[in-house]
Amino acid sequence: MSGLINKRNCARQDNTILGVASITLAALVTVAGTTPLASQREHADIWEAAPAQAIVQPQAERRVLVFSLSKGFQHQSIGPTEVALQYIGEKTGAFEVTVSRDMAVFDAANLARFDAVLFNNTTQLTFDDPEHRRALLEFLRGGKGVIGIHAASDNFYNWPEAAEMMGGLFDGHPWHAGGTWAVKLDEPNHPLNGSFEGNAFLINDEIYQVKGPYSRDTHRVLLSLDMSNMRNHQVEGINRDDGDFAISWIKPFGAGRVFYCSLGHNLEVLANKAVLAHYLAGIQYALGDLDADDAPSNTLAGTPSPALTTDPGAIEDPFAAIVQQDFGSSRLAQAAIEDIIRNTAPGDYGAIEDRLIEILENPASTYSAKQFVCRMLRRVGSERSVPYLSRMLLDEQLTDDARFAMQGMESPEVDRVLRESLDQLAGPALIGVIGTIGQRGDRDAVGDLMGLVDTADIELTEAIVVALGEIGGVEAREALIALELPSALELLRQDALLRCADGMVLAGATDDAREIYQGMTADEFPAAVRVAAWRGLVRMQQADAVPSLLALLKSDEPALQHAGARFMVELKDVADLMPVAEQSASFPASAQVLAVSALGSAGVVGATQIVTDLVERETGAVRAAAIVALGDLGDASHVPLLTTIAVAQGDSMPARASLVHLWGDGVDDQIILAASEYQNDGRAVMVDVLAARYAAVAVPTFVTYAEDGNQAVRQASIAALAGLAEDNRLPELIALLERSETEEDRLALEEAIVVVAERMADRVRGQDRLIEALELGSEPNRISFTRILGNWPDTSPLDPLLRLAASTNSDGERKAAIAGVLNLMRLSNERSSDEDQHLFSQLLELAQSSEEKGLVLDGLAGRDDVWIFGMVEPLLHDPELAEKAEAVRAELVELVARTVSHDGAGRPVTLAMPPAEQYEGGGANALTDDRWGSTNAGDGTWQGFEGKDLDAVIDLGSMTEINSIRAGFLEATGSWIFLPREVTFAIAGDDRIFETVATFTIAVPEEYQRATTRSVSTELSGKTGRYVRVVAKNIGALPEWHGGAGGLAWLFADEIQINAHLEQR
Amino acid sequence: MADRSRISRRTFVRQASAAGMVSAFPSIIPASALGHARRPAAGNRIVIGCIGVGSQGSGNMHGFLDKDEAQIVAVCDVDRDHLERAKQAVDTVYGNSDCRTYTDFRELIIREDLDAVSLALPDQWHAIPAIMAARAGLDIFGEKPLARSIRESRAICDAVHRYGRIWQTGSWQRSVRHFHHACELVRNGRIGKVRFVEVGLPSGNSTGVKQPLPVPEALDWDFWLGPAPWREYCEFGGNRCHWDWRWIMDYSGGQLTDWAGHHIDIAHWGLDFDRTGPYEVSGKGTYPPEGLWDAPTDYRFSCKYEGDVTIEVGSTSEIGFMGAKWHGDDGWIHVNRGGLWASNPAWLRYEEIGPGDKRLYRSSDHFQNFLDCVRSRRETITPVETACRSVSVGHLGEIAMLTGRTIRWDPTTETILDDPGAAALLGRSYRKPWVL
Repeated sequence: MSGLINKRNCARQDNTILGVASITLAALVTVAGTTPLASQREHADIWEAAPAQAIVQPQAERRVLVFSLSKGFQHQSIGPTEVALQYIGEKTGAFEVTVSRDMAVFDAANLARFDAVLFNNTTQLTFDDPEHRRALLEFLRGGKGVIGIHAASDNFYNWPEAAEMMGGLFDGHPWHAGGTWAVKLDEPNHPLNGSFEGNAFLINDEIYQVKGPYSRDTHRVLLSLDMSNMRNHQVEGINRDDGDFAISWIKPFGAGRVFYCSLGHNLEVLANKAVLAHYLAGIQYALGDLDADDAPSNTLAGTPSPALTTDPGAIEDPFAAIVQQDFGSSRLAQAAIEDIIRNTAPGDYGAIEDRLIEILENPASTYSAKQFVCRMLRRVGSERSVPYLSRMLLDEQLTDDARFAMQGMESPEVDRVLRESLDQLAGPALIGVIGTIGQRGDRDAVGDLMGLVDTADIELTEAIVVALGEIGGVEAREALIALELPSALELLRQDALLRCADGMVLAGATDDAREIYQGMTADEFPAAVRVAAWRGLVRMQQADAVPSLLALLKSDEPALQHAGARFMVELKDVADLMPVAEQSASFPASAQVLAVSALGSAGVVGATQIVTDLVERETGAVRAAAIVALGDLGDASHVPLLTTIAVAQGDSMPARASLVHLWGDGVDDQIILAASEYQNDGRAVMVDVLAARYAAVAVPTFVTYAEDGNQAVRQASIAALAGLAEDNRLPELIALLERSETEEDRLALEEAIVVVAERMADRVRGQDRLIEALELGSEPNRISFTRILGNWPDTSPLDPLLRLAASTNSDGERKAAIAGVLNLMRLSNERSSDEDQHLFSQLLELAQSSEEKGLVLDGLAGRDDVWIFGMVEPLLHDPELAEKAEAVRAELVELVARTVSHDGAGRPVTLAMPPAEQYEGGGANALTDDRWGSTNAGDGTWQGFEGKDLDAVIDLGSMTEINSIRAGFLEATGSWIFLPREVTFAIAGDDRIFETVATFTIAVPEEYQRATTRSVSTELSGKTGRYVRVVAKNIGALPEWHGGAGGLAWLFADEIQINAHLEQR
Repeated sequence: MADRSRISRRTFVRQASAAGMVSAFPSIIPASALGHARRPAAGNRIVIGCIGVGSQGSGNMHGFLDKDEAQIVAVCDVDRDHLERAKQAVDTVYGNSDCRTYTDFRELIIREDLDAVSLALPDQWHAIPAIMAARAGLDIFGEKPLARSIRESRAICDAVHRYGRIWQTGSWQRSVRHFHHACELVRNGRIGKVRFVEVGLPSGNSTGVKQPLPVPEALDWDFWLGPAPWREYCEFGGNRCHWDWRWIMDYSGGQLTDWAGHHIDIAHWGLDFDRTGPYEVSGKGTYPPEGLWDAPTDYRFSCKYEGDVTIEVGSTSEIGFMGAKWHGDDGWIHVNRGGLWASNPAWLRYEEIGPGDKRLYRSSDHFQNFLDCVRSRRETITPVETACRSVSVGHLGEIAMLTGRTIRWDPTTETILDDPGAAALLGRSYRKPWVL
């Protein structure tokens, strides 16, 4: 490989001209990506794999036009596919190949020379010339053939007839080139599938998903993805929901025939005998030589049974497969077992249970396997498993899993083995079993549990108390009372007793429960326990609960008052609460607050008058609570009382909240009336309240008050309009804005219009309406409308604003328009860096004042695009902007230092000749954009030159010490891309007199090379310069051996790196 | 769907803020006036400890940090990186360094100065801390789904009720106006008698096989697992075991139970089913055939309720959309986070619900609603019983799909009828030494 590139020491070579004795040359050859295989082998492999015999003897000499033009993605496999087809034709004599990438071959007269056209990984073909379209379709309909290989379905997006011809449109490749996928033979016996010998297969290739005119109603499908194989499911991006991912098909088209096969992305596939023979059969079908049934798959009388794959993607015996599993193993087998269980009726669980028990008993089984088995026994296990599980209970590691399996099992046998294990266990494992006994509610275990109590072992005893509470019943209650417990567990014992009581209520043993509750309301118990005890009583008492509630609310303990209020709300019939309302005056103030609040919350309408009286009579927190409760209980008749309070000092906030909450006929009208009666701040409060009530009926009122004499009223009304006005109010809002007298109103109206725009059904119309107002308006309204458009909820006004900035002679409008464009740009990050660059450079051109330029600078701040250097440069010399520009530049340097790899990054490039249109690499400075090309020629980073040289000059901006230069190139011979035959680096000072500092020659390869990125580089010392020139000579015509011989070679260049920050990338 | 019949959520948010109204409770009822069992809080604030301060937990923590009337005094997490970040956030807001850190929630809960806790833990850890906090007399802001199993959900409900605690669930959609409006429309019969409801929840994903790794130094892995079955540590997804635990059935039921507390919750609210459940559930799920995540990725199950109502719950792949869509004899209403749609766009205006209509509980701020109720002892907008009933539907669907059987359910006794094998899945045993 190193022989391909010969470094020539230019100091020696060009000594007389350059006098470069001082240059240290350590030119490197670096290879990015993988080492190319010896292409000799690749060729030999293809030759070896190509079928030796035609499937059938051709009926005449057949000529196949292999068309390889890619307007989109360039496949590496293009060249090798050409080679493969040539070899197949040569070895079998089935056809002769002519290769072309020139659309001119589709001239009807030329096309007539061929029997079939083969689209070899063509992409994004459009067939712009209607004559070419007609010629191709007539060619095919007239009885000839069309063949598509791999990317041939990635064409004709705007030509439905051709899409239909090929039979589908590319819709991504969820099954990527790095994976191995399962392919089934839809028809093992179809003549085109002969080479697969009836066997489904796994293949390492990129498999397409198609959309559009694909259907088994029209296609005869030969190969497709085997979706019964789990490996095909482990992907993202599946769009079809019918699970039908065809790979290979045939179909008649007019009197002609089409064969398509999506295999062939990876080069290895072209050395696959079966695939090449499949190609051959398909081509011979398309040529009309091989007679094959091409009736659509769905029209066949009996559906042929497909040949499916049987690899580990579909496990034969998942039970055997899990024995050795561990954390981190494949879960295929587990998932298969779970699937079996989900699809098995309980009556048939026995067989599964047997297999699971086998695994438990197998000495080779891992912990992970046994854990999994226990999980499954939880679903399918029966008493049969219990003996095995009970042994595991005693195993420190497996005890949890055994309980996992048994805890829910309905079987007295489980209770028995759990109880028996108690004596044999200690520590955490014992605690675990006690927990499970509790959850199972095993009353027979109460005695055993009591016997285990060890007051020295707090954790154990704690678990016993909890379990007894869970088990409940009289025995558990007796046990809990009898237990000698450390004081730390007293609270837990009380909790357990309360749970016993709760359980008794459910079981109907209310007397037993009441006894426990009543006993625990005694003062000796902590407040939380007494609360719980009272709750138990109140819940049982219901209609008779008033004395209990009164006792709680009259208590001087906050926790009990709390509870009283809480239980009021829980009572089933709120009418029962009237006595509580009537007696509320006798409660302590804090309880009165809570009780009044509860009356409102429970909706005790009967208490409305009591609450109203409290509002009128009381002060402080009680009054505030009554005001809020009135919001729950009152109606329109309470509006005057509440509005009076709302506009006064003191309880304004609760009164407003109440007004917002108040329900019933006429409430809004009453508040609108109040708004008209009050003025100034009082009216503003009413407007706020109406807005919070979503009182759309008040919108006309808001429109009126938006021009009120009082500033607060105007602002509140405009805010209300923002919240409630519909689209149809836009003209009124615009008119209000046009008439507005203060800056505050103007700004508020601008905001209101933007907010209304957010929920407009027809935002385009709204936008048009504003543009119209803008065109007809005068300053300052024009500026307002510009600002509104600049704050629009979507980016659609971006272009109108740009046009406005370009055409207006008003400084204010231009500034607002520029600011608006910058705002809208922030709304979306869907634009490319290049689009942003274009927008920013337009804005900088439009910006006239330093202030406007400053706005654009603000927009640039914080971005890390290298092109910003070029934009900031001129502003550094503007005295008013220098500081800001420098800050942006400095920040950029900081941001870029993390990402940019060299000093040339972002510097302007001058090219002697432009690159080809479709390979501009992303713009003028693509060679210094610090984006590095991949081995994919179409990745958008490469600049491509067809038959031409690269001659680039990079301006570093000022004299710079130059230590290294490196230039990157792509070699992808299959895509007609060759390394340059010679590369020269030169540098110059301000005088632009260039001095060559390094020259490299690169041998033209003698066969296809795998796609590789390569770079040539040199290290220098003691050199300074401002300009760096890189000249790379294209090899010109493609070499003789190449499938495209006679055509022009491409030269692809990407980054030119000056003073690399990193040793290598 | 016609654009005309849609109202965006953002609009509601703007409306709410434009109206500028705040809750009345903070100013009218001082915590000291209400009185707590514990000593009054400094500055009359509601004193909160946050247990679990990862992604959702720190979101909730910030929800309370934004409230002047709340005071966070302690944070707890088993990942010390979360803990440090949370302490720093709290201290930054308060301008001091007082926030205490805990790695064991039990030590936080027994603090004497707390009024409430905020819980945001993986589902296997929902029951124990909630029950312990209720017993300690604390009010609780807890996350959905209420618990990993129906039995645990019921245990939480019982404890919260028993001790008279205030509970708010993180089913915040109820505090968003257009969800509220949708439910009021359904409750008030705008679409006539409802017979059929579709609930679309997100589809799940699968992942690859994950290799065991050394436990990160900052993480207490054994404590993180807690009552869930033991397994070797590995990265569940992007960030240790955090967040992506929700796709593993030892800890969660996947998107189904993660979202049951949102859109099933809303469907229930519209139908007044907050205190009941289906009598029959059946359906099917698709489970990842490989990889660490084992929760269903696509699912669909049917829930029959008394009164001739069927709720069809499924992933978007099955249902075709996100959210709750009620079909009545006279029209339909569909709501999700993106908006509200109806067969009759006139219903979408808020004034559609007028004086003659029944009103639903209204809250415009989920955190504020909790704080208000802590003071007033009123019921929150998403109380614990509601949370239990919402997620139970998800759990029953899970059981129906795992067994492949039609589940008959008694919503009153909360038992599965005539199918002990399915009933066995209502609870889960705990890994030692944890006890429910």
